[in-house]
This record gives sequence, structure tokens and C-alpha cells, in this order.
Amino acid sequence: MLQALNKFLEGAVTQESKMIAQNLQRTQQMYAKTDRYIANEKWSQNAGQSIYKQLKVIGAPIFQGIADVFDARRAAINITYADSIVFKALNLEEFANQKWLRPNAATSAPILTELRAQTNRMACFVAKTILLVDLKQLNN
Amino acid sequence: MRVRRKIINRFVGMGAKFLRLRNFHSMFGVVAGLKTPAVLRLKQTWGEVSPGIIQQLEDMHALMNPDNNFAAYRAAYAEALQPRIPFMGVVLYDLFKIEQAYNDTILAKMGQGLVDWTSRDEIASKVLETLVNDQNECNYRLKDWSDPVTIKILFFGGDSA
Repeated sequence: MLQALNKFLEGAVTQESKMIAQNLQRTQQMYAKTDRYIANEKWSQNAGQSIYKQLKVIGAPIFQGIADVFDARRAAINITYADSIVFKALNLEEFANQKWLRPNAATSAPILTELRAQTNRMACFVAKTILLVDLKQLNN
Repeated sequence: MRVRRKIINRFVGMGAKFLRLRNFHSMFGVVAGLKTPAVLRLKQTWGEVSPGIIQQLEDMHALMNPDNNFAAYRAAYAEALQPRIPFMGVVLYDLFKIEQAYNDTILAKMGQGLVDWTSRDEIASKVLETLVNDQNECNYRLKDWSDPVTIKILFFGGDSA
């Protein structure tokens, strides 16, 4: 992981390590199963079936609980803080010679790559959460 | 559908908060997610979202409009006070276009004094100068760390499925 993100994580751990550890564990469990399913590309293997049927078969976690824990304002402030740390760590040399477009962008322009990935992660998270949110209701 | 509507409301609120915090980078991510074709196809859900929320989303989406070289975004960004985080996509787009515009032929002509343009490096420097100013002024504060959505996006949202 990037140096900036490591610092960022270390800062977090020193603040409220126990609470963070618990939340990390809970969040990880909540998402891991679906993420594994997506990462294994089983969706494409079972392309004939609807996404809902497929997830029902593997017993993927339902994201219903997120509506209760999701504080948009708090999340936005935290993520902005995280973005600012990564943004400040950005070195101008990463912009030279279009390094971010090269195959080795992750090593030659790591922070720029991370910033670009962050937008994609955010978009992916938003779409995935909305699409999977009330799966249980749809299945019932 | 009710839960889904609630989540959409929250994400629009999150995007609006990013905009208020002048974090254009993450705001673009949220709006891109909400405007994903798979999400847009949820006609019934969108039908239940209040017009105010939809208007809020459209206002944010208007900033992403690439017409006139991202004129809407550039205007909003120019007006935004510090601290602010630019959308890196536009910065990279600018640098890419500068590189493209100054191809070898143009550079050769410039070398011979046939083209009296500001040099490529000078234009690129202006783009990066703004970026460095933003970096220096970028002093946001942390709210807290017990937020599962933050944790999910930052540490477990690495897949791009």
C-alpha cells in the first residue's frame, strides 16, 4: 500500500484502535462474501441467471443494515480528509512524461494511480450498494 | 425499494457534502456511481425519489459535463475557496491535451522561431502551479474513524467490478 495510506492508517489506529478494529472486522465480514464472488468472476460464468438469483444461491450478505449505519455527512468528511492526505502527498514528478498512462503507472506514478483508483472505487461502491441493497426484499 | 430510495438519498447527500467541502474529486466518483446505467435503469426507485434530491443530483451532474472543455466544472472550481481538491481527471486531461498539441512538428517549428507560442512547459507549469497551491492549502480535519462506509471505501473497496 502507498506510504501516504500507511501513514493515514497508522494515524487512525493510534486514535481509536479498538473501535476501528471492531468496525473493520464487522465491515469486512459484511462485504467479503459478495466481494469474493465478484472477484472470482462467477457472475460472468453464470451469465444466464439474474444477479439476484445468483447471489441468493451463494447466500451473499444483504446490505440492508447499511441504511442504519450510513451517515452521509460523516462519511463525506472522513473521505475528504483521506483524499486530502493522498492529494498532498502527490509529487509533481508523477505528472512528467505522462507516467500515469504507462503500464507501470502503479510504480512510476503511485499516488496519481491511487487518486484515480479512489474515484473508481467510490463509483463502484455507490452503484454496488444501491443495486444490492434490498436484495432480500426482491427475492422474497 | 424503500431502502434503495433511502440509500440513493444518502449518496446524493454525500455528494452534496463533498461539493460543500469543495472535494470535487470524490464528488465526481459519487455522481458517476449514481449515473451508472445499471442504477439509472431502476425506474421505479427513481420515481420515488423526491424532485429536490433529483435536482440536487442533476446540479452536481451538470458540473461533470465535458462540454466546452469542462466549462461548468472549471467555473465552479475557480470560484471555490481553499481548501479544495480538484478532480484529477480534468488535470490529467489538460496535461494530456497540452502534450498532444505540442507534437514534434510544432516543437521543431518553435525551435526555428516559426511559431510564437507559449512553450509547452510554461502552460503545463500553470496547470501544476494551481495544483501546488491547492496542495499547500489543503487542510481538512478528521471527523472520526468509526464509520464503516469510510472504512469500506478506503480499505475494502479495492475491486473495480
